[in-house]
Amino acid sequence: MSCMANAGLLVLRPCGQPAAGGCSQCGKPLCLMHMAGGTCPECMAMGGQWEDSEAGREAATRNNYYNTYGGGDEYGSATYFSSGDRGSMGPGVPSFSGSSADDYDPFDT
Amino acid sequence: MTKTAQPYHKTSLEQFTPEAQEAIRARSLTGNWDLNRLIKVLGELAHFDEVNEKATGKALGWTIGFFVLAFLSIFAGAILGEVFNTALFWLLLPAFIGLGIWRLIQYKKLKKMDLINDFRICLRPALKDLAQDIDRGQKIKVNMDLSGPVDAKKKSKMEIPPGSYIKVEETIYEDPWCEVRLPLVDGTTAVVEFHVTWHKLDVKKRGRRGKIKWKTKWRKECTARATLMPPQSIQWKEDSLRDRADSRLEKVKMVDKDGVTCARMERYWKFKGASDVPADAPPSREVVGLLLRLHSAMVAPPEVRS
Repeated sequence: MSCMANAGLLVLRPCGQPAAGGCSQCGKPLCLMHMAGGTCPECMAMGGQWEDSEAGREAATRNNYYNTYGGGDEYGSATYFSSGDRGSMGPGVPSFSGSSADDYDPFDT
Repeated sequence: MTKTAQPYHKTSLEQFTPEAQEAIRARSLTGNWDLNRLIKVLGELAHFDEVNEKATGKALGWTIGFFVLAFLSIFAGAILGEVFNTALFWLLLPAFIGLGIWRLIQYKKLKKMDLINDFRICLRPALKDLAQDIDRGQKIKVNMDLSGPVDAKKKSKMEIPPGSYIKVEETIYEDPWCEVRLPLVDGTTAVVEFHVTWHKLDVKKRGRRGKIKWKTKWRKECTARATLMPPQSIQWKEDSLRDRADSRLEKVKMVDKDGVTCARMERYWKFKGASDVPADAPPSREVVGLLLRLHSAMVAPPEVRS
């Protein structure tokens, strides 16, 4: 699983580094760098706790720009989903878990 | 975080990197740059410009002060010379005039080194906001002329209808001071160009008591033009882009570059200054706002290069 913290302003994209944990508020997978504050940069920016974190500051700046000018990707626009997202929603794609019922083992931990 | 401007003296140009020293001497910055290096050098130039502006203001203050003291020393020389019965106090007059001239020369020298403020108010913060979108593997092409309204940029000088004044002379300077080409992580190139038209108005007017006075007024008209050039032909949401533009201050145009349709947005600002050139510059947010709207007008933006 890879880090889903957002990067960029014009070209909004997930960080993509290997995830090392999740955001304590929204559960989004995060890499070591983005997990430094406990929450993801977006939650930090929403909670107004972005001042101590570079990534939080970037997220707050991004929100500020998007609130003024729009931008980023809104649900319904062609670019809301990444190519990975679109691929996973196409026909013939296995379900989310990627496993069939036969593979299920209740004792597997 | 912005560092507080420290006082400096002539030799302290050595505190800057060779690139910054060269840019200060030439009052221009050109070439292909790494983002971090460019932000650092622009930071050094910003620091130099802030300190230089303070020193210029201080030198002007001292110049005026010494000439006022020189004028007052005429009365002081006459009165004190009478009281103490000596002509020594008359030496104050040449002393203050000398100090005034020395400070005036210093002021002129500092003024010649002054840089246009726009690069530190507008361009550098914009580059910092866009840092994550710029492809670190490629260079940023920069062409900046930081000298502001100098004689070489003078376009015209003519008298205009004076209205309620006696005479108004207008000098216009055309200053296309900056072009930066930013390679974005998705292969798109963002070109940002800044153009300033400086209007200097020398006004001759009659004061309340009938005295003839000269006054200088400045007007600065700035245009920022942002063009987004995708690596291959794509479709644009042109109508949506036009809807999102402020028609009073902004223009949208689709342009063709080597068979690829590119989108361009232009925004206009106007600033006024009293006796000196206006220190204001376009806000960086509004320039980034142009790029943001252009980029989100791509129907299917190119994929991010890994």
